[in-house]
Amino acid sequence: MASDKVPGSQPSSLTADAAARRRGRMGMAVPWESIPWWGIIILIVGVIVGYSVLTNSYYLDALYFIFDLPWNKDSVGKSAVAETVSVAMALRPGTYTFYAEYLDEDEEVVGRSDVYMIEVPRGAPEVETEPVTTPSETPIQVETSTPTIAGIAPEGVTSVVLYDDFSGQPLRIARRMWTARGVFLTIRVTLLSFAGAMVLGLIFGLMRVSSRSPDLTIHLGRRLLIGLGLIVLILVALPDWRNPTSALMVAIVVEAIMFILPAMPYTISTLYVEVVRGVPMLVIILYMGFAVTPALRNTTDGQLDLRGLPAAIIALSFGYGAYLSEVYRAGIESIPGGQMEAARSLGMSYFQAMRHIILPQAIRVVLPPLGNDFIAMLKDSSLISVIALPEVLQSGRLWISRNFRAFEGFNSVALVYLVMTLLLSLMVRFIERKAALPGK
Amino acid sequence: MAEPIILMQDVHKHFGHVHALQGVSVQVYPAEVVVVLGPSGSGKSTMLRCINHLEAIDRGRIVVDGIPLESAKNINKVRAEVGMVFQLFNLFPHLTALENVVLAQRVVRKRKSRAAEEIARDLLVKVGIPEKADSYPSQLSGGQQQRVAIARALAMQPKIMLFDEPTSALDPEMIKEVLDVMLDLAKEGMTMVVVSHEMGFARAAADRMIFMDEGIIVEEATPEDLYNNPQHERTKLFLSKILP
Repeated sequence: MASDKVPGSQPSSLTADAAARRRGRMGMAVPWESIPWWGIIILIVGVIVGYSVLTNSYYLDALYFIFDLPWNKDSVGKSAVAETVSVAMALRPGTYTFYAEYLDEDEEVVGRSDVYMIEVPRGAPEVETEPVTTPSETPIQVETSTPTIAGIAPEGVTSVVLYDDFSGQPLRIARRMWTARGVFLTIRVTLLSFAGAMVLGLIFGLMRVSSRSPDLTIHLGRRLLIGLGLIVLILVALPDWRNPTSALMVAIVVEAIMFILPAMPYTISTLYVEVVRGVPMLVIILYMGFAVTPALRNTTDGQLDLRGLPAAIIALSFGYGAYLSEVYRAGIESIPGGQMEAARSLGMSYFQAMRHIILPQAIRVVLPPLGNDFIAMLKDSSLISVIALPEVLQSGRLWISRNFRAFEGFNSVALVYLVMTLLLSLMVRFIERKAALPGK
Repeated sequence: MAEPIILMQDVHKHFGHVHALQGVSVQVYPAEVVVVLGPSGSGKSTMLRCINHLEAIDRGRIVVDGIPLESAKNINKVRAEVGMVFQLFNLFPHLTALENVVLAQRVVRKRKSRAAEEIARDLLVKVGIPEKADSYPSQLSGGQQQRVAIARALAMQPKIMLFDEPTSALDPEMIKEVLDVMLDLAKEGMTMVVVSHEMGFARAAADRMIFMDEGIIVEEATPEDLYNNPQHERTKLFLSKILP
């Protein structure tokens, strides 16, 4: 207690009393008032989770699955004959440690083999060679990138799983975690999509604060001339349109667009925001996954294949860009007009003033809503399970369908999201505190 | 006399239905200090803001340092030659005093960081607050903020300085420290257009005074003549209200 430390001061009877009462009830003084809000939440969640996990082993199993553990080894081949196992995928050059896990007819692990260290040289072809039969703690060189390992399994073993064990290699562990499904896929999708949404939002936000009633006469002659050039180009490229009616239509459309060009940024941005904001995120993801991606694949003969992660990231970025552009606009419009005037009066161009004066201040204003959308996006990333990406929710449902334990599965999924969002809240607060100006 | 450094001819400006400037013609010569006064809404600030094109004009012609204010290229050129000081300082709150003075030098004048910083420190000494270089605007008093704002404008080495009521947002005891800096500038031969009701400054530094009302220039005279012997009824009425 601070008052106790001040020399010569009387301890306040009120605090002493309260402390004594607390001690009487609890047996010891718990500094409730100094526990932060998140500490209390973690305490409550911790007690519930701790109790559940200790009394119900399905939780650990579900979390193990959702985190896509283990991160230090990959299963690279399975064999039912229990004698030889080939590595299913081609290995990069390097040294590998393999071992086999023995399974009985219930798929329970009943033992494991000694380790086989193998060195795959540079440029090894993807061919079948003599199997490696002797366990070894030192690398044995093989002349193939898909080696085969053979050994005698003990009695009662009905299948063998070969593992590539990279426990001592931090780089490979990091790569494994980055490409893991479940939690890490959710984190990856959220980070990449939010980065994309921030860029899109900034571009469209800047377009939306541009002049609403622009000077349509600025560079008018130049614009109409460029339009004329475009009309000629179009008619050269599309011979079918070289008849008076079509040519007139092309001319009118192109010149009309060129005429309203100065008004375009605001119009385009408003169109984007209003349309995208009015369509549910789920619809955008399904549209991207099952309409746009197959269409792009077909029209480019499979050259442009966005299936899976790219489609999800594009859909989330595109959807959230609309919200973020409004957040940026609010931030930019909250900066007093005098700031832009002062910057312009020093000779800065509009974009220099934006970059050096307005945006650094606007970003500080919009940090709380940005953090809000970041957390919302983390949760909305669960929607990409509809295009079959195994993120947290999809992993959880997969686990449930295998184990028929819906409560444990969904509780684990909810817990994982809750922990991630709480950590994000803390991170956002930390960034806000770091970015705050003195005296504010 | 030499060519005027600022030339305004029959300048008109509308804000919606308000006719803020109704044909203003002004000439300011190099090294001249012109003080503009008039009741609120008389168009004095608008006139000042038209000189560096913070407001676009509807009719008329403005030439600054031989550059006509017409196209966008000229405007940035003119703005770099014309420093402006605002009533509410408009310092950049996310930058320290020093960074406020350095930024435009680096962005617009393309000076190296070290050179810009040297110039900035010299200017902070000149305006009398070298010890506040690393303070943020929110940590400075009004007078100190306005002096940083003057240093920021001077860092661009402008040929003309415009002051838009630089002391009217300040506490009385801070007005003097800002006026002293302005007086020093005037003595060094800076061309200045000052919108201000500070009689002391006008008497000490002004070569010429302009009295504006309802968007037109009512009277132009030396400070002595304007204060002691105003010609127009409106000038007399206005002075009777502001003079002690």
